[in-house]
Amino acid sequence: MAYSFVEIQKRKTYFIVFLTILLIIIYFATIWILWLAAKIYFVSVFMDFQNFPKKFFFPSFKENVILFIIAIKIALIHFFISSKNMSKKIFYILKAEPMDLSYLKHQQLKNIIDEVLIATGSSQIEGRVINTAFCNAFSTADFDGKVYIGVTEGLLSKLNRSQLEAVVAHEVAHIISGDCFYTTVVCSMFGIYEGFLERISENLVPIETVSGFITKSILYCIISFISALNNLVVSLLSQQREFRADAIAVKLTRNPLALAESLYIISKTWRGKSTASEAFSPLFIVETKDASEFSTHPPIEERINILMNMAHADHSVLEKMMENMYFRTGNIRKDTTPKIGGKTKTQKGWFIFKDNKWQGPFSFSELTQLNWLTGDHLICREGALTVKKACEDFDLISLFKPLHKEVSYKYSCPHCYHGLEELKYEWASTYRCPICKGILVSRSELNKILIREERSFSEEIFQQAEMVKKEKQERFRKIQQIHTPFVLNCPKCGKKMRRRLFSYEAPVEIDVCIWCDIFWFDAEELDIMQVLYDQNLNKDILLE
Amino acid sequence: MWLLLLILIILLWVISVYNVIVAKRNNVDNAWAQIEVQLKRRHDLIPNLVKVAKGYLAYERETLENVIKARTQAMQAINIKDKETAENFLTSALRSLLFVVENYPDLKANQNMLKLQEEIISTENRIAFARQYYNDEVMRFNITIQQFPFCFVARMFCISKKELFKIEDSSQKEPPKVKL
Ligand SMILES: [Zn+2]
Ligand SMILES: [Zn+2]
Ligand SMILES: [Zn+2]
Repeated sequence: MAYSFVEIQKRKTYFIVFLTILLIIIYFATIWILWLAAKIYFVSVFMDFQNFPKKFFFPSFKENVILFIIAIKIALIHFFISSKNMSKKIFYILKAEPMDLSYLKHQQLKNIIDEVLIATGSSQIEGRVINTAFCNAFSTADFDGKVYIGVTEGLLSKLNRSQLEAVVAHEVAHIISGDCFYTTVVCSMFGIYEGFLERISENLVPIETVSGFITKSILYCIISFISALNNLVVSLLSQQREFRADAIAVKLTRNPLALAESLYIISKTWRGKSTASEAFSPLFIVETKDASEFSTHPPIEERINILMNMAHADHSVLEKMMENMYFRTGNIRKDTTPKIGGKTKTQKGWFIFKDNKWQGPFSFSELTQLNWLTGDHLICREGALTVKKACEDFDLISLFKPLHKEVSYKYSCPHCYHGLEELKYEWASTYRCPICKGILVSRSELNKILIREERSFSEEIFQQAEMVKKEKQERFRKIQQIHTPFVLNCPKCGKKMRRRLFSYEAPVEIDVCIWCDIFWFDAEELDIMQVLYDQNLNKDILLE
Repeated sequence: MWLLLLILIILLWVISVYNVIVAKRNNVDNAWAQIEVQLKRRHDLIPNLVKVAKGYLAYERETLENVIKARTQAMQAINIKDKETAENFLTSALRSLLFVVENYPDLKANQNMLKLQEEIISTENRIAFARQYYNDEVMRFNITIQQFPFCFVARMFCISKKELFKIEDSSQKEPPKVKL
């Protein structure tokens, strides 16, 4: 679009040569200093330092040449290793995963990527999703021409369709202009190692022992050194690329307001500070670190102002949109539709939609006789206004059970020892006990559930959540008085699970297995937990 | 002898110009093919949509039938002008169907319906983007064959201007609010 293919290739070659030269200089300087230090150390320990000729310390021409050759070799090896499978390594560190197309929001992301591609007339782009609450998006490009766009789960839950489209268009713009490739290569040189060490230090045992403290401090020193080098090479990138990408994105979607809105939302939320994503800050649409003199992005306000000018809109539009958004998350998830024909009132019969008309009513025993009835048929209870699939009706599930009977249970309930049924809760996989309704969920899946906003909750759940909040102090006192917090066995590994409160902000009682990182929620506790999470203003603290 | 050389040069020039024009025309044709792919995608979605909605919308026969009728018409249209009107008709029929769906909370919450709705919105956007791309290519082509040296060659080979594809902008975007 903006540049011809040949031109992009030419610029790529220049860029790689330039980067390699920079690497050689960095390594030469480092080796030179190390060599000098080694010499001084050697002399001061084994010989008379005072009387030694000072000329000896500074490397001779011959030594310089040797050091230079070593530097070239190391730099080339470094470049070769770092430039292999760049995207794969970045995904590993960011924990970015392929999309789960059974989840509507992920399908939507895939659709949007395909749509924007039609506008550019270019080739395939793959989507990735990071299972985290922070809001950001990034793109990567490999040497073999494969390109990816990644979006965080948090961003997916906060943006509407046209806003998400604007973000995707921005990333596509980076890809077609070739900027994405430079950014990926530059970030791969040192960022990968910084991010990798960052992830190791996250998983390290807390600083309680002396050796733990020492390892942690050494690791910290190494990380800061690599981070400094990362900042150095990353400063090569021009901030102009973001303005350029914004402009192309608007040209593609013809919707500057949506892009301004999404930038505004991202700038007002947690963008990924103090996670491993900091090492790849330049890859993201809005930088994950705080703005500083090392900023790789232009100030976000400036970008928003330009876009708002294009849209001929006022800044107040953005503030209003943000207010509406918080209003939405706070309230819309309350399920206010009155329950008609609840479980207590037993209806006499069911109507079934077959051959384009409603038939019936049938009684339960009559239904068992109908051999053509499948779980896919639409049914309506007598006197009720709601229509649903037969397999979704609470009383009819047993009719269709035989179909599912072959499924062997993976886990069994720690309370009632009944097999746990796999249940998609907001498209995250959980296991639920059909008898006590308790739910087993791993940490990463729980993450998804808390971030996503697909379910609405009844008034009772909201009341219970209020109760939990009121009893906060009492609950904490109580949980500390328990003498035997290890009651239930982990359904996965069989070890004892610890009973505790989830967190200070969400004091819901849970059982957790520290070995498998898996949680057991009693009936409705997960729903209550979600309501509490939504109500929390800086809710991202609950996660990570 | 010189005359022969001159004719040869002119001939070569004509061929090269002709090639440029043909290359641009191929771009236009490719862009048009993309539109057809997306229109077909939309036509293929409609039977599914009707199947899912039928059970819930027993009292909205007319809306459903309108959609089916519009689809058949759109599929029969051959030239660009016919397609324009038929597709616009289909767009409005689909819109009124989606509008009706809003009044049926059960249908709205149905997973299949949600998926189909997303597919329809996506297809509408794809059509809009494909049309945008096509029209850009047509503009480029039309400008080229009107320019000074190209117009002779174009006239020589009877290459005429291409038509733009005008379809109602069906994407869900709100128009930007104008500052007063
Ligand atoms: Zn960007
Ligand atoms: Zn149970
Ligand atoms: Zn366990």
